[in-house]
Amino acid sequence: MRKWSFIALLVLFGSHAYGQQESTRAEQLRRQRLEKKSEAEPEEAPLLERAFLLVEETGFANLFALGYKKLYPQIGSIAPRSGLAFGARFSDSDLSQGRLTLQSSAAVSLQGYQLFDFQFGKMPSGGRPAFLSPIAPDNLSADPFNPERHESSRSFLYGDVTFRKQTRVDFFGFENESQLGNRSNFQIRDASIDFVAAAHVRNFFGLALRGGYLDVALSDGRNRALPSTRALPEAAAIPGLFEEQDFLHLTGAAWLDYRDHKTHPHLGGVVFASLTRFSDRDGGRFDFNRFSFDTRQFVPLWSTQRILAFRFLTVLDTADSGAAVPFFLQETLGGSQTLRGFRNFRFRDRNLIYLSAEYRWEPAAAVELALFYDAGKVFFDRSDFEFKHLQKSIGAGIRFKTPDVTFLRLDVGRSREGTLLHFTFGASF
Amino acid sequence: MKFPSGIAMGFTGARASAAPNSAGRRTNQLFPLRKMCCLLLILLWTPALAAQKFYPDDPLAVDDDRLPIAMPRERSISEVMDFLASTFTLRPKGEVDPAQNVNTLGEVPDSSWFTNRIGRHEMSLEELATGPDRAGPPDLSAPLLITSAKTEGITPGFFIRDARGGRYLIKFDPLRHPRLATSAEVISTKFFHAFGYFVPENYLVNLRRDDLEIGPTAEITTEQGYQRKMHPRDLEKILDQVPWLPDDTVQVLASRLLEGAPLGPFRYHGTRRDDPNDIFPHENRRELRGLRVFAAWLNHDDSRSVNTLDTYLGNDPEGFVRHHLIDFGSTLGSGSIRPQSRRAGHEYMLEWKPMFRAAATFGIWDRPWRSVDYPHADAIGRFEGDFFSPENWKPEYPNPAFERMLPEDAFWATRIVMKFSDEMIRTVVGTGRIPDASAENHLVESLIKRRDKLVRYFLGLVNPLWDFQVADGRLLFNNLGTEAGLASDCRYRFQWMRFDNQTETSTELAESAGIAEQAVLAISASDSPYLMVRIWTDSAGRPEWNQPVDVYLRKTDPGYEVVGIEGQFR
Repeated sequence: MRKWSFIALLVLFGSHAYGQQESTRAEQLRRQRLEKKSEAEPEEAPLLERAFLLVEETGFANLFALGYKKLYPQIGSIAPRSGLAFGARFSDSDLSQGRLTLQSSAAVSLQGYQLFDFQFGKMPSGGRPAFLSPIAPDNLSADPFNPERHESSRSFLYGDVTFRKQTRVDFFGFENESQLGNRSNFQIRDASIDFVAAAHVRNFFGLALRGGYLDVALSDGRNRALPSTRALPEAAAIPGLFEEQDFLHLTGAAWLDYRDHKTHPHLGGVVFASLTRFSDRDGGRFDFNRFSFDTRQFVPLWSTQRILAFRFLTVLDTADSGAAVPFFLQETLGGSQTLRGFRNFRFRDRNLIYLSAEYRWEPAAAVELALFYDAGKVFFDRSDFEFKHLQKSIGAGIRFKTPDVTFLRLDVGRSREGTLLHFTFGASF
Repeated sequence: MKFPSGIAMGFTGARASAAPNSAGRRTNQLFPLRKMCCLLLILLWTPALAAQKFYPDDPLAVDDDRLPIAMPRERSISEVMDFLASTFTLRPKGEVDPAQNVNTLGEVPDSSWFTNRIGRHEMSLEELATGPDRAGPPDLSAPLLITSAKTEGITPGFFIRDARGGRYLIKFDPLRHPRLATSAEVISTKFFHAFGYFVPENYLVNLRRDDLEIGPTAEITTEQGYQRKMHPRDLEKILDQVPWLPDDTVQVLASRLLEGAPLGPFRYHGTRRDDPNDIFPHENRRELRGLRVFAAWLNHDDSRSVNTLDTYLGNDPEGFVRHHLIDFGSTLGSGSIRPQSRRAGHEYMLEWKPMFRAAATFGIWDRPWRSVDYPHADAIGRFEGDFFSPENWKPEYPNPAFERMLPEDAFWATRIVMKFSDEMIRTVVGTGRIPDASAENHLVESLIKRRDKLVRYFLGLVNPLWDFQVADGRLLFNNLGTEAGLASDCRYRFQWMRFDNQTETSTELAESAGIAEQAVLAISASDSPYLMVRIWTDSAGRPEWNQPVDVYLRKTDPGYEVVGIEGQFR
């Protein structure tokens, strides 16, 4: 009994002491802090947050640096239908105290496509080595400058060496009436040594020049499910199919750019024109000139939330007397950028016209929806330059954007040949 | 009672005694039942003795949260995770608890988070204009030595050391918008300092090219994300991207590095486990909830964790953590790297309802904020007061503290906003050195309009009686609503009560109810150590003011003093 009385007294005393300890508000708070101090433990971010932090602090592009700070892996696509490609890229923009850049990349795809390139010189930030490239699949670009950076330099000059192999490029025949069932394929290997120069004369006006040497060799396509283009009955009539050719080429380009925003325009437009001379070094059988004209206009419909976007593109090739335009240098229609209801390379000939209209609206800042209508045709004879007998496709798309880039575009295009889903990076135009 | 109850803590201690002991047996098995009952009775009764509504030191003017602690580890917060958590998982569900870190008057005591400034005492125009500035701008008598630089992002910046050894972060305006972000940041810094927050010393300085020199150990973070030695060419490239003024200077913001060791940002929810002084969940801190009102006034849409910074002051382990708001580049009409977006303040980055509505109508339905007219003034960007709606203002994404702001939290912040006269606003805006007088006028007028809208809206939600004082045996108070011109026909119904501080019960005093035409009540005669008076404001067209306010008085030597105020808000 004495023992329990003692314990009770002890508890009573302790409790009173406890109450006394909290005789002021400040003491009460202090005690809570002392209690927490005895249990304090280091902050540990959850695993998911640590993963996000790693990406944010390192930068997505730098996340996979291959042990050396200027070497990065690459995963993506080399060309349409190349399949997934794997490679590495080296880039050093700090040479000569940041005046010069050296970059190089190598990639091989699951379909056997290959790309090796090397650039050196004064390049724009995030340089675009393929700007004004003379050969597919590099599309015309309206502005070689990284649009969202204020370039410290208004001009650049660099050298570009590229080797590329495309193992299964589709060929459906020439002219606008080519048949889907006539699909064949060929392999093309090209190597080029070029120089590229460009300058912004004014904020809205630019000039560029690209020239160099291009060597091309063709062989049978690697898609065994399709006939090789070289085995087609009419193969002999396809210009450039059997010869290995090399060219000297020179392109001059100019553009006017009055868009309100370079990558997400809602107002204004851009007009781009270029003239290219291809000179066949083996007797001039494939000497020709190319004129390209590409214009895009953006019209807000009483709000920047909804706009109409228009594009008109024409490419006109003129062969020298007695010469032909090699089929592999001809521009094409179809794919994720043009005539989205048709396959890549679906229409090919000396000349093309292409029109596109998109109604775009933005339900949220990072999301754009679009309805589009594409029309275009290819033709041999310049007298067919008229807006008749156009191939047409319609479709809809959803695009996800950051303030500076469209990082994902899902377009569904429908044409008389079916429905195609394009899953691509970058804007349609 | 706003602070956590001592009774609850007492019960926690009692429960602990019933836990299994190390031998795996329950301790109560050792006690005979009768003796145990006695013990429990003693235990339950004893803490109750200590329970009381008001402590002798109430109302607490200072919450001394500077208990010496070991320096917590520096941490970062993922912006993506903060966005996702704030948008999807930290939204309030059900009824929101009242703020916890308030004193019995409903005020926020001074602490490592907040220091009452204009809310507690008058501030002169000079004090307002000076703001947090103490050390002064960088000393330009010798070139500023660049210690590191950043090129990532669209606006570059430097860390520098001046001739006096002062360390600053130099921030530039976007190329096409000279003075936009730097001026906005300085103006907002002064406001947030006057409100009571800890903010950096931010100075506007005009630099020439030869005011900057690369330090011997200066490094630069390249676009590729790695660090290397900084070259003169790097400096040239950065200076080519900033907006030079006709006098060959560039206006920069020199932000003096905060005192103490940086520990990373604080979150707007939860507490830091490694900071024992941090005992109130941040979403329940009144100064963080009420920050929504200030942020709305100044259009601080970027008021998120990443723009805060904790620092450790003192020597480890004798120091403590102080909490700062930093980076006000996206306030007023500035969006840091461009004029503020039209969406800012009107819609979250991700908001389902307007998104689906716009998607389903093919964009034909449009957000009203897209068509707001702003003046064409490069120096101030997009800022206005006509379309502004206090109740609908939103930051970039939901803020857990803002989302829990209750009318009483807003009332606290609104009382502070009300302290700013037109002249004070003009003085603070003047510190931004806006070169265009009409733009500056527009900014001042917009701030006045927004202030008035905030006051009208938030005073309309509560019974706006404040400034209770005892003088000459009478209880005096102010009706902030009538002061703000919201009504003029107020009468005050009241009921005096005796209040028992231990049991927290009140008993009506006989013949002590009445109606007062003025904001003055004679204190009912009583020998009770505590009195309470419940006051209702009757005003036509203001039914919300009919919510009662309870004012508690404590007997002291010379008479009564006001010890507590509680609004019973619906």
